[in-house]
Amino acid sequence: MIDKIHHIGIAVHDLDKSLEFYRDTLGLHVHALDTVEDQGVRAALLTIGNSEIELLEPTNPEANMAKFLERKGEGLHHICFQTEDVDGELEILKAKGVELVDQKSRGGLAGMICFLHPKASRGVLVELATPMDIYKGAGA
Amino acid sequence: MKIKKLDHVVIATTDLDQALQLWERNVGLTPDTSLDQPRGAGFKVARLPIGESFLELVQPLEGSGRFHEQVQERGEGLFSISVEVEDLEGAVTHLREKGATVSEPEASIWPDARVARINAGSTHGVSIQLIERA
Repeated sequence: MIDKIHHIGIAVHDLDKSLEFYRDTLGLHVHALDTVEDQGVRAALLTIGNSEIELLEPTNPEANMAKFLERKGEGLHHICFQTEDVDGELEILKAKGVELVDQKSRGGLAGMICFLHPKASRGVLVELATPMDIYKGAGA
Repeated sequence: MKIKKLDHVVIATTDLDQALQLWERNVGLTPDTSLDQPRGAGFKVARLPIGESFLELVQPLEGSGRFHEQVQERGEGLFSISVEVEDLEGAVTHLREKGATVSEPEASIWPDARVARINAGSTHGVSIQLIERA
């Protein structure tokens, strides 16, 4: 059961420069700024209504984000939906045979997360997330 | 300028019917409205509500137009985002003063809404639409 769009991920070359547009020009509030080593990104989360915009700058040239930028350039990268139970959703998706990137949920910026393979949604990279304050899984 | 929310996310596809099946299977979203060539545009579109927003799946019907070019160039996938503003004219003026390239406001394909588009060159590669709802 999906509750809302949690965030839209945008790949950028230079996080600080992109903030000049998204924060200073659009006027969106930055509520978190963090580096996620295992994903090779530095990220800013900006509030937009009940959702967020996530700006992602690669910090590791070998990570997926850097490769995406090389291939496609800056722009929309993924869409993340919030669910109360990311582990339950994953089991349902596996049972249906949906192509996945992650077989198990893992810790991410948005909480416990997993990615579906873009093939599963005709080219859209979909993330599911359960924020830590509502996560009830084994890792909580 | 005041942004109220993420209004919708546009996804380009070459097969709307199959895309609808996948979105229902993967995340349980189903359309509440479908339009065929709205306002004479060369595409068909379905709207899938989610929370305070919706996904808009768009399939280009002819061999031209911005959706067709996108699918040719980047393949299927995320196309643009649309953000709801309180005052469209004010937002356009503000953005232009800040150096962004923004189209003239026009009627949306959806009733009771007007839109303007910020050029992706001003937004780090993201096609962003501003929408004001009546």
